[in-house]
Amino acid sequence: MLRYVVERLFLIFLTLFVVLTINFFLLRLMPGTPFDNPKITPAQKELMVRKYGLDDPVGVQYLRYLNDVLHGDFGVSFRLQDQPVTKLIAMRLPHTVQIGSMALVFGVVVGILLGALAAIYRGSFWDGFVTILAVIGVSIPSMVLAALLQHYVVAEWGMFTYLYNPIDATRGISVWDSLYSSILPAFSLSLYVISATMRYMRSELVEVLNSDYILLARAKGLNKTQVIMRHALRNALIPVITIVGPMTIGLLTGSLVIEMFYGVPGLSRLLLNATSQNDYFLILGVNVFYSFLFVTVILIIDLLYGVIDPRIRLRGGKS
Amino acid sequence: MSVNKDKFVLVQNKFEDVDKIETQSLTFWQDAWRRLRKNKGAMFGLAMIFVLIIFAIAAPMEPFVPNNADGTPFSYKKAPVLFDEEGNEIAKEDISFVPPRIPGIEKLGIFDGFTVIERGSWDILIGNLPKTTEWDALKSPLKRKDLIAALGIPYHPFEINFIDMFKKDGVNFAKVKVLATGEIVELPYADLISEFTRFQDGTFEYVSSEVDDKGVEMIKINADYYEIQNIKNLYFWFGTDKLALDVWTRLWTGVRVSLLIALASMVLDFSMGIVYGTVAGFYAGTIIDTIMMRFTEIIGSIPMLVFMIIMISLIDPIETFISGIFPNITYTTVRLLIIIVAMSLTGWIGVSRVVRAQILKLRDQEFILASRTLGASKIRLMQKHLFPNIIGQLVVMMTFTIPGAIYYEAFLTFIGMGLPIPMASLGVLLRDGYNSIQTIPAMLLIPSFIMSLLMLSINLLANGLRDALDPRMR
Repeated sequence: MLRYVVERLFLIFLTLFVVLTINFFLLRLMPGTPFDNPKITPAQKELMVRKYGLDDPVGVQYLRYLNDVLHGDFGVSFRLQDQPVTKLIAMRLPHTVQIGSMALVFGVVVGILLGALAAIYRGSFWDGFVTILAVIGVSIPSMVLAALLQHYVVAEWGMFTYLYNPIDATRGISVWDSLYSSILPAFSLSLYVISATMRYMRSELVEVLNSDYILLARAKGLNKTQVIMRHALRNALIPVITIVGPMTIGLLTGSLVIEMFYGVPGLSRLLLNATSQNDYFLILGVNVFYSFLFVTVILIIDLLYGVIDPRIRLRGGKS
Repeated sequence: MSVNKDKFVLVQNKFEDVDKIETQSLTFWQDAWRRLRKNKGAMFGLAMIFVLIIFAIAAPMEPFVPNNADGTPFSYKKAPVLFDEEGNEIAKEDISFVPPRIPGIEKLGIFDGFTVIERGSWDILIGNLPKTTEWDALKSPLKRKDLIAALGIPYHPFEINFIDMFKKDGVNFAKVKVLATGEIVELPYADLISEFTRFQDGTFEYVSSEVDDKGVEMIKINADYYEIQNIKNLYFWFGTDKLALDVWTRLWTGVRVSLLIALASMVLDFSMGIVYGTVAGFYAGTIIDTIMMRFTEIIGSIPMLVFMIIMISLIDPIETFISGIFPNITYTTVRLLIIIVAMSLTGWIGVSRVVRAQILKLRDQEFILASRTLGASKIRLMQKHLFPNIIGQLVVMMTFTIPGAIYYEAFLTFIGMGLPIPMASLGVLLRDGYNSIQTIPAMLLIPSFIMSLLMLSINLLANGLRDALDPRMR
């Protein structure tokens, strides 16, 4: 087990190193410099370039950056008043997390409930409903849903809010106001989560319900509710955890269009703005952070999987 | 009851008939097709895809080509000349953002060229309509005082409220309240001039007016654009966009471009994935496989968004690079290629994993061993035994890739990596529609409906294929 974790951690470091290196050199191919502003004179520009050490050879810059990163310093943003990249990420992350986690919790809970319902009453109206909903859910693009919600729910019916409101005491926006305003963006994101979870839950539960130990439980004299609550649901939920990991990442990175629609000052908006402004270190920092999230979430899910499911643990110990 | 023994005939009395199969034997694909046909959803999807593809093929080619026939860059002013009811040439500026109008259906009250517009009442002035030249000089909001002086109008436009609008002797009358004096005046609508000269008498219906708590009055009118622009002879089935391009035409060219992008990235994904996966699968257990799989793990743990951001930032260098090698290639084609490549950068990994896993599973099985014992070459093993066994799963994966690719194309367009005007794709149409949702909702609704329908149909077909090609479901 320990060896496995160490191996995985090494791979994570390798991945992050590759991401950092590829990004660092590719971004230097970007046309223009971060200081291409007509208001900046050539003398000022030269000063700026020297200040940030951009006039050194790229190799030297790369080694210096690597050294800084190992000391926990991801550089500063050129465009946003020299603010440290880590601080900018820390500022933007809560908004993305707020909407993403709402979408995830809502989507997974509703998905599991509907999926379980479909599996238990297999072949009934609910089953058909869930199957159709699952296909429709993955077929409606999130931006279409977001645009329609904004136009009809907000503009025509006057419910909810057009834009996301971050918690801000000075503007009198409480936690509840903020959560209220994130309902629509979170819902736009969650439709996909609902359909994916639902579909997975249904097929897993159907398989579990057909297995021998369920038959045994029934033969023991347990009633149907007890069998489902104690034996079937628990076992069917385990594989569902595997898709939660990739979905979390999808929500964090794929929320870009939703963030644009609802004016969420989130992480992916930061990245997009940085890209259009050639803000090298900021792009690098966010990209590395995204990759970091991605690999750690997958590692956590893999480890959790072994903890939750004893069958995996037994097999995993040997290999 | 007695039955005569003669009535019974022994059917299978010949020894050689024992092994004879009575029903016609089906190949793998015949059987899959037979089962697919029973799936209503999949057949609906298949039919819909068929219809959409026919429309996409039948759409004119022109918007796909960014140049005019004489080689100059496309400009909307060079689009076909259209004539209004009186035979005058229509300026293209006048027919941008025209709402949809379809012959026949317009009588039902939908797709009739009407659109509901909300305007502040300060856009409505009282007085005689000045000449166009004067009007153009005076209509700027900053020159409102000059305008009022020039018109010699008695009421300040901010200080009237609409009460009602009615028809008297065939003429539209407006009942307005002058706030300063409190008097209620009835006067022909023609005497009320709109800042937007489009809204002339007889071209719209009065819907409602509302005064909010700040005293600003908003008037809702249902305007007939075709009447306003005097183009009752024309039908833009799905309306026009900002550049006066017909949305119906653009929609189908857009479907075509989106499908092309999806198919191209799918082909790229699968050709790379199959080759990579097969090689890794064949060398499984050796150092080559370990290195190859570590590589996919590293590439696979970089989020797609990161790749896309890199591609976005590198669009210009890539373009100069490609056009340096192929000078004849157009800007649009390069853009199209970049989008396809951007989507395939991570897509092939999943394919290679599946192919490798399948090959690992299959290569130790008895039939492979038997074939190998008989001296079959590696190539023969692959094409005769390995490939036919994984093709079913690959077909299902391929079908599921397409809706994803269509979605990512739209996603890329929204984050600024889309195709240039006048190229159309579903993503471009969605973005344009989103920008004009307040005035003409149909511009968003129509492409979103078609896009959802396309994705739904392909998903349904993919579901059906998965069930039909899975031997366990037989």
